[in-house]
Amino acid sequence: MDRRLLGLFGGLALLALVGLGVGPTRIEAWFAANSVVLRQAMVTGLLIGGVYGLVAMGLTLIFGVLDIINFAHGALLTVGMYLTFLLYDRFGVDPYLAVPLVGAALFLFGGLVQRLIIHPARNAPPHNQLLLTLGLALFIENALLVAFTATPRAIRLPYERDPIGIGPLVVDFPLRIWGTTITLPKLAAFVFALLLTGALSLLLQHTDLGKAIRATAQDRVGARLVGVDIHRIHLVTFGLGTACVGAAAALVLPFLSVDPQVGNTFNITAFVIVVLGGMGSIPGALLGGLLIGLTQELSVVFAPGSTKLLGVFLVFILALLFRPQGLLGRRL
Amino acid sequence: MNHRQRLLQDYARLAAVALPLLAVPFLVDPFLVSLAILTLYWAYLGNAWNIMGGYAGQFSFGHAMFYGIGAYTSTMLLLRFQVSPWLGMLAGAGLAALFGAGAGYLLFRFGVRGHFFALGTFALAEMLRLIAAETEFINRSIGVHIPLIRGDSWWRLQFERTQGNYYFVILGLFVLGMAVTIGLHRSHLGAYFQAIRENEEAAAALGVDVLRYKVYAVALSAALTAMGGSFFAQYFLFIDPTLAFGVSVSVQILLRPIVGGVGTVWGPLVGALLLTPLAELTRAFVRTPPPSLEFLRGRSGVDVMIYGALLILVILFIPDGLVGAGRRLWGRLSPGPRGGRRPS
Amino acid sequence: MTPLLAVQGLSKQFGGLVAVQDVSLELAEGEILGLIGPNGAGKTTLFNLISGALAPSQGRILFAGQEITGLPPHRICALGIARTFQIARPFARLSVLENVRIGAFLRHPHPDAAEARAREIVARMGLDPYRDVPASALTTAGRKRLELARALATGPRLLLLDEVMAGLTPTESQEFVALVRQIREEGITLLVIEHVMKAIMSLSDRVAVLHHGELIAVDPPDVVARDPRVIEAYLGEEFRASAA
Repeated sequence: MDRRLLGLFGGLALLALVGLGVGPTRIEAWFAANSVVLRQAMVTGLLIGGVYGLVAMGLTLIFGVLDIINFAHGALLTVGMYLTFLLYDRFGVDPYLAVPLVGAALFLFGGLVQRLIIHPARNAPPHNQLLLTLGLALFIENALLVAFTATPRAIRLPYERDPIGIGPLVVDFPLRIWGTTITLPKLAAFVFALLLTGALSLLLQHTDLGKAIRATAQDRVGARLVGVDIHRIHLVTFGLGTACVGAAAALVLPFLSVDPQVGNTFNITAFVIVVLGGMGSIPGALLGGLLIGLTQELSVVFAPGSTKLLGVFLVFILALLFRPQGLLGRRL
Repeated sequence: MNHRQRLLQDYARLAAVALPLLAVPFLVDPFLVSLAILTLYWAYLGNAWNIMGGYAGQFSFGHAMFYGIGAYTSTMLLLRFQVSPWLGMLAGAGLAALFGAGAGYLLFRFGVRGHFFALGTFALAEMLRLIAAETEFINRSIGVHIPLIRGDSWWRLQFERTQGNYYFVILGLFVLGMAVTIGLHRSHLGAYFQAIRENEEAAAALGVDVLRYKVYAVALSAALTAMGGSFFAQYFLFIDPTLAFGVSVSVQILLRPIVGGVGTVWGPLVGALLLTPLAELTRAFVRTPPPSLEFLRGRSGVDVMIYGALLILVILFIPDGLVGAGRRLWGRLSPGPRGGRRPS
Repeated sequence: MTPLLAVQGLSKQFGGLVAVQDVSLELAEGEILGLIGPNGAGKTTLFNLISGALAPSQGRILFAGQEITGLPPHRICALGIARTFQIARPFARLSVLENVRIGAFLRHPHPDAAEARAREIVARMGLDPYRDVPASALTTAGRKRLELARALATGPRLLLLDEVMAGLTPTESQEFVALVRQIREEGITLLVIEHVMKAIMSLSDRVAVLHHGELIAVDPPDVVARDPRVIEAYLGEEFRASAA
């Protein structure tokens, strides 16, 4: 532990030295010149971070209860996005109306996956379970590639730029605050993602089902002793976890085009968030989601030309090394 | 039988497999030669992965990092400094071993294990991919072409006229890799690797320096994998960040040993013998599908979809792979309790 | 004469929990020291401290006069302290012989020498019929023997045995007592944690009693059996029951 802290402080000291080397006035000047970009990055990062939080919550739930890292999490998100796309494209279903539909569909799909693939291998060594979900990810991703080809598909909300009235207040979109621009789809995704995260937390805290899930996460044997049907809990939890990505999928489609690979980025990001926030921690997932959203957008500002994921991976390796139990530890 | 006799017996077996293979380019048509090249190439890479993932039990999800280091090192040395890819291959192996040892040491030292180790290797490979895509020196995400030369050159490891020469190169690499594994399997190093895989605390209590041997396993596996990357660059004559460091490289590398049998000497080869022709058949099938499956014509993804399904089926039904399943079947068929050594 | 093992003021806390409290103990070469105490008294923690699996919070450990406090387990094993685990930890997918060979490599780097040594020990432990089966196929008694065999293969001067007789039938534990005596005959010093009272009392030269992490007595078995503090703390009914 001491060694870890030492490393952390050493790193910070190094950063400070670099800062001194560059010179405080130049840093100030840089910030002044980039203030709008920075603000925009922070707002965008927080908004997308809410969705990341929702996706990561699904992953952390599955990990906390089933002790499985679900490598197919991103691929399931892609499934959800195509489903939303089809609903919109064929039947004109509004993506926000599709949130519960796709969530429910993915709940069922997740349950099926758990029963057919995860459950039979519940006693296999951990890396075999990892491989199972990897195989599932490969299968899903490429089945979608065969079905839809690699062409990206997108939808555009007809009311994206309409003003919205909330009581006497009329809000114009895209919203301009504090020198930043906020589009309706991103704001809606953020708000709905937070609501769903909150709802799921309440469910876990206050319902019998939620209590049984948490009991199973804490002590599988103990939960069984007090009469919890572990197999059912595993099934339901996996379903809930995938329902999270289903909902997230419907939320992001209005501002993110879908192709068979789109889930990969989410997958990786969700892993990072879960490790950062603490495996199995719901508040950790949300906090980690917001932090990673910020990191991702800010890393582009600080290191222009680089991809968003570079900063994310850096955080990941640091988190693995210095705080493997996560920011908030494991608390489900 | 003593150690030397066993080793000789194993090497004799390897020779018995490899020597007849020398005849392949003289017997079959060019398409089958290229299929044989790919099969040996994947068997070679699978074997390299198996040292770390199978024997030492350090499950790597990011072997592309070593592969890519090898591919780029030999390529850049050739293009910028006119260094022979043979030397480039060695340089890449050294660099990958160093990188692997460093990364492994950090992850192990900080107690990153199991799930987390797999994720860590995955993240490292992805980071290298992203860094490669931003690095001017290696032409960013556009990638690097190795210029074509006329005729054959062993020095430049490029064969325009005699494709079969690539076959001899990869056969040589494959035999080298297998020889390393066999030596390992019979030495205290291999025994220590397996002990660490089975139980780290117990191994440490028996005097095994767990951290050191885990780092050795990573370095060895990394060096061999990097040489495979160099070979690929010379064979394909093009390399870019995704071909070098992409997730699919890592997945493809571990697929064969998993299907064939993790932690067995012959598993990677068995897996490659099954999967590589399967992939080629699938591609041929998609090029000219039967009328009932006409919609598949020209669609990409079918081969990897089958890999995915196969991976699931293998893990669910024969988690110890084809070699393991074969052994169990053999054990059931042969009468009486099995005396003597377990077969390797 | 320097004691083979000297533990000086050893303590270990986990968070606020004190597992071992200021324990000082000496073992002479060739001795068998029994270590007893109720569950949770800190016996296994003490083993973990001596074998290097845990680093002590305070105190020192000297082996043959050399300080080994805080050394990693493999270094301590190389210096000549071997241990068994309370819950056997076989290398499940390796054969019994291969398991023992791992230990033998420490003093016999050449595979042939290691194998010969391993065969010898496997035979002595009565594991010959199981030599080539995977360790996962062994019974509890077999696993206990394998634990002991592996530890012996490292060529120790001091052997720490953690409940090797737990879960064995009376016949099996009698065989074990004979084995342990035989090991001592070869000049190996032993520190033995045991719950089987009859065995420990007949085996040990001295018996150390841990209670709530503290050492409350180190005496010959008959003295310990009469010590009112020990009876109070632990022996009580159990000893009377086994003596009856």
